[in-house]
Amino acid sequence: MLTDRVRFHAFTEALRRTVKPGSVVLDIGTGPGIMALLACRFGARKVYAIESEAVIHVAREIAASNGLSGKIEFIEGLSTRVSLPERVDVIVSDLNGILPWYQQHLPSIADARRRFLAPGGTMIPKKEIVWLGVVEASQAYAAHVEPWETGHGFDMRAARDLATNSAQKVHLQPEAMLAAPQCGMVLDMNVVEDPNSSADVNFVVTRPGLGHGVLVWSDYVLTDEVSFSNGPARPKSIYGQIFLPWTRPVELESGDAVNIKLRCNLLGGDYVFRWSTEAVGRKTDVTARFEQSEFHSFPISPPFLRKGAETYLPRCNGEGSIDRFILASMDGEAAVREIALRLSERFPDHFKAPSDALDRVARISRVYSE
Amino acid sequence: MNKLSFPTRVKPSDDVVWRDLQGESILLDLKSGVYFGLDPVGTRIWTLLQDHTDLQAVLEQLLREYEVSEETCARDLLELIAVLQEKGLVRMESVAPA
Repeated sequence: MLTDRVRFHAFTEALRRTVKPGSVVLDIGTGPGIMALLACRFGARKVYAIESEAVIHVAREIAASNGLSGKIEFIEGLSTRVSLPERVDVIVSDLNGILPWYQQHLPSIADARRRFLAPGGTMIPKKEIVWLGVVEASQAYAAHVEPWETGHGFDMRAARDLATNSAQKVHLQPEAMLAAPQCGMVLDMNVVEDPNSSADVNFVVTRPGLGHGVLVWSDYVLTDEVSFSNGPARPKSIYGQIFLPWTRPVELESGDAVNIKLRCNLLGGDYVFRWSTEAVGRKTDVTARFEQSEFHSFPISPPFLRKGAETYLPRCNGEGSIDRFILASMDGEAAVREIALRLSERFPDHFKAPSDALDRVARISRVYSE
Repeated sequence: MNKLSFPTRVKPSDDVVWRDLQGESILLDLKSGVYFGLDPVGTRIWTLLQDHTDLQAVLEQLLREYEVSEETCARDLLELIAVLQEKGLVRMESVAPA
């Protein structure tokens, strides 16, 4: 965030307007701690700063360097797994990717609001408004698709299909629009519960051109007075916009209708985007109909997937047997070095050098030790 | 040909995405995160369900494509539909009697 001036200044102004002397503030995903520091500057009595990555240790040092260790309590872990001793007046977060549908952003916000926010408390951001546009983007399209179009004399359609089902990060200008942008949805952080979203949007083409896909971006409303956007009409940000390419470019005339259905589903740790397109010419003939999904954007190994099927009977392979041995040895009685020694004796062909066994045990210990 | 006595239409769930992998297919239920595999015949049935909600129409198409008795085909089709329904991969829509 520190490298994105627009974003940084917006969050600074939002905190300045919201944090009052004596406020208790929660900063989710504090990173190096800049928003926690700012909250103190604006009068916070106490700041709880949560961060699951190792950068929290840097944040602690920075807070100490600025004499704020007494006011900022750093908590290492996921916000959904921590408890706080009190409710807070302000929850501030910047957990987005380019769009609000990014990893555990929305579930974390909903959880924090329910468990930590005091009655009458404030969420920063307050809401996010997601916009969609139909765009002509020949450069962005060619960059990803063209290598598989020419094929150098070979049929490369299998790879082309992966490319046209991949969301891309782009920085497009307003001139790319072939129709007026439409609001896809508004996510109100004061009430959002469902991490999944869908939008059904209709466009009327106003500028004839070659349509390449759908552009998606967000307006971040931090407070009633402070907002910023990563849209094409705004100063370039580090995030840019998301471009969802079409299966093929489509010639569009003024007056043509384009319907876009966008669905975003949280699966495991990240989102799967699906986009459906129907373009209808003025004479009501359908000129294009696409059903696309990020599920089609990556190579799939059927044997790999079969191993996760409900009815599959798994048996540890060689690597699994090694990790199982290490985990079974982690009883709180044997040191890492001792486990590594036993590991080398148990699997001599796998660990030629003692350091290899030590590295393996250390890696498992870091993940699974208390 | 006897009509299937199955007074419903079958529609793939809106939350399912799938890929045809050289005859076999992988279905992913975006709600549950569960993957489901179909063999080539199951894949053909799934493909037909994208365009035909009427199981009778699906049965008739399968009988045109495969050398199998109507009884066996109908039984296998209904068994697969039952499994898909149990997994939440399809939903049934009642059809009003004529």
